[in-house]
Amino acid sequence: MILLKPNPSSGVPIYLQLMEQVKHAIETGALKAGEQLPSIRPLAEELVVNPNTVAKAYRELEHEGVIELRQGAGAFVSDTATTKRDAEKLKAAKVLVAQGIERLRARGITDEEIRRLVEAELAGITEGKRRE
Amino acid sequence: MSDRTVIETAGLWKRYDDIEALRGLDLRVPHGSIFGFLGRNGAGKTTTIKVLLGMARPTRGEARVFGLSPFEPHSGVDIRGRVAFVSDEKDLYDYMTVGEIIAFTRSFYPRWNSNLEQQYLRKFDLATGRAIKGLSRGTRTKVALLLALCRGAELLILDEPTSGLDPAMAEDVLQALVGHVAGEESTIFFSSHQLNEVEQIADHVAIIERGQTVVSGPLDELRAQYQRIQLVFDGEAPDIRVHAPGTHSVRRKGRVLTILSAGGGTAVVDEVRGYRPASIDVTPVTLKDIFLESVKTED
Amino acid sequence: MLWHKAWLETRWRFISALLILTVLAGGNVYDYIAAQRLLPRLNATTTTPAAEATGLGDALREAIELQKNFRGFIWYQAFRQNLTQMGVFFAILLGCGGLLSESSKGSALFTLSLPVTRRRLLGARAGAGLAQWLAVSMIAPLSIPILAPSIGEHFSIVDALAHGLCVFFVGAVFFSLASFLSTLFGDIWRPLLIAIGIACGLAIVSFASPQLAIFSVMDGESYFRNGTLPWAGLLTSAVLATALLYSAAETLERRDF
Repeated sequence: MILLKPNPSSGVPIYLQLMEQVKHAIETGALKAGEQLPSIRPLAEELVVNPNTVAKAYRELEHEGVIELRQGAGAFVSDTATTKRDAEKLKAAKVLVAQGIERLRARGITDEEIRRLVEAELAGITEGKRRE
Repeated sequence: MSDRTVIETAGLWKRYDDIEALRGLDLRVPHGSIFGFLGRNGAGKTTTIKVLLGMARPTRGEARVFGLSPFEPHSGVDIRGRVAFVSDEKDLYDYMTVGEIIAFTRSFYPRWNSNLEQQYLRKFDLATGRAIKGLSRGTRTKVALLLALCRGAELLILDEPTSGLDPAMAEDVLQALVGHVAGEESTIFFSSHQLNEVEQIADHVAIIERGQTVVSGPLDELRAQYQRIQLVFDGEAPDIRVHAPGTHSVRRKGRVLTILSAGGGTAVVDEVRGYRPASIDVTPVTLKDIFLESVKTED
Repeated sequence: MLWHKAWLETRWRFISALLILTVLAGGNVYDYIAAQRLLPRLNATTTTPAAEATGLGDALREAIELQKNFRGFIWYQAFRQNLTQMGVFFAILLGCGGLLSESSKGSALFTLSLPVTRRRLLGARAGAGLAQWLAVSMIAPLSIPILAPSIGEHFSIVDALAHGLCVFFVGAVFFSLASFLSTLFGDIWRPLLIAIGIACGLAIVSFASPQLAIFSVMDGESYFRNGTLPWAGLLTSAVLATALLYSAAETLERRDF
């Protein structure tokens, strides 16, 4: 399994980016239930990130039930059904997002503006541009 | 990472003749961390490092490494036996060859790891027969790093480890550092101007300005604390004062008002809504933003 | 490996000192041949009234008389002139350098980051340097007994070594002076020039008052004249050299880099 190098300057903490990548890999089937994840040290070296950051990502993933950390053996994708359910939910959500983006593009809104709108909306404080 | 501090300074002052290089510096570096030490040129980074290594004596205040004093002859030697230092200039003995300086350095460190030595010679593509005199800066950096990484040090103190290196070599260096921390149970304390690199591998940072610490703490927490709120107005942006707590700075340029807030984002947004901006955007803040904000002079 | 490092830092100076002083001393052996022809022609009428007035005339006459035989010639030319004058210069040269001069080359920080005390750094440098100076001051005079037979003369090895010892001890004082000055100034020029200046000053002073004749200890004058080594002078030199090195260590200890 190949994890992409996280973007340190994106504003999203690296450990969150890693968690997202792992969850995404599970959804798409790149990582299957019970499969082993790379160990912290080699992964940190490969991605050139702080091993504590990888450790934190793994801890949070374990806390969310996405993976299991087995003493001495390593990190494994958990067998739980929640992952499968989340995967279904996310597939549906993905479709919605794709549709939404297409509609906005059809109105002439650029990708950059779409991204900003989404981020602002998530932060909870967008007011529409008062231009018609 | 444990609660142990590897480096600790309290109210550290250092005066060189007329110049006050450090003016009450406070620093706490936790064990096992990769700690980025940032500041403008002349802010006091190199002076701090020199004090920690016993190369310069403080005028006032305390500095401790592993809980020991760097300026007592015995504890100083003890500290330096457990620390690896790479200077900004990466100057080595230009009358020696790569192999000779390795043998020389090895003789001081009983925990020297010969396997790592071989590994790094290969990884960094270093030939032991080459004279140090003719080496490029990048190669010298690699030699200096090898000397630092093979000695079984608990603490690496690096002054601008990737300066002057091309991006590929810089990545090699960062990779070696990351690998070292993972495998060796050690701490890395490094100063750098390459903020994107610091963001990539550091888990703690401190920013110093004119000899004092202005920002310090775990990087994730710092970034989460700061937010940039950008307001665009239909007309000229109003010259307003933002009273919400945590407001760091307000900048006005044309129709845009940019507010930097530490921990008070929602309060700021609530306050400025009343000015009826055309749009409000909240964007995350990078380490560069935090740095530039922190080192602005208080005029 | 600190001694090895010190050796690498000063090896060319050591080799130059060894070669030049050995060649000078050895060369004096062959100078004797020409001197033998020239000196008998010099007599009391070759001095000037001014020289007579200052007492220099007596000194000149004595010098001429002394050098009419091989042993005297060698003492006058090799030990009193070359090995003393050039010897002081090379002793100073060997003593210069050290940690502060590394500063200008940048590697001082690397050295200072090693797990050794500054005292030990200075000690290794001084130790290696004095060992080199010992070698130079003992080997250079040996060229005389070795080469003398080739011109049909004889010079005892014991005498050469005895003089070498005198050269060593007094030279060690200048070595230590240069070491001490090197802990005050980072460049190579100031310690060198100041030490040479002090040596010249001492030469002038010893001309005026013979009690402070440090250079007559160095050229082993008492040994030449009556076979006794200048023990008081050698001891004083040892004490002075030690004191200067101690000062150097203390200065280095307090220094900020």
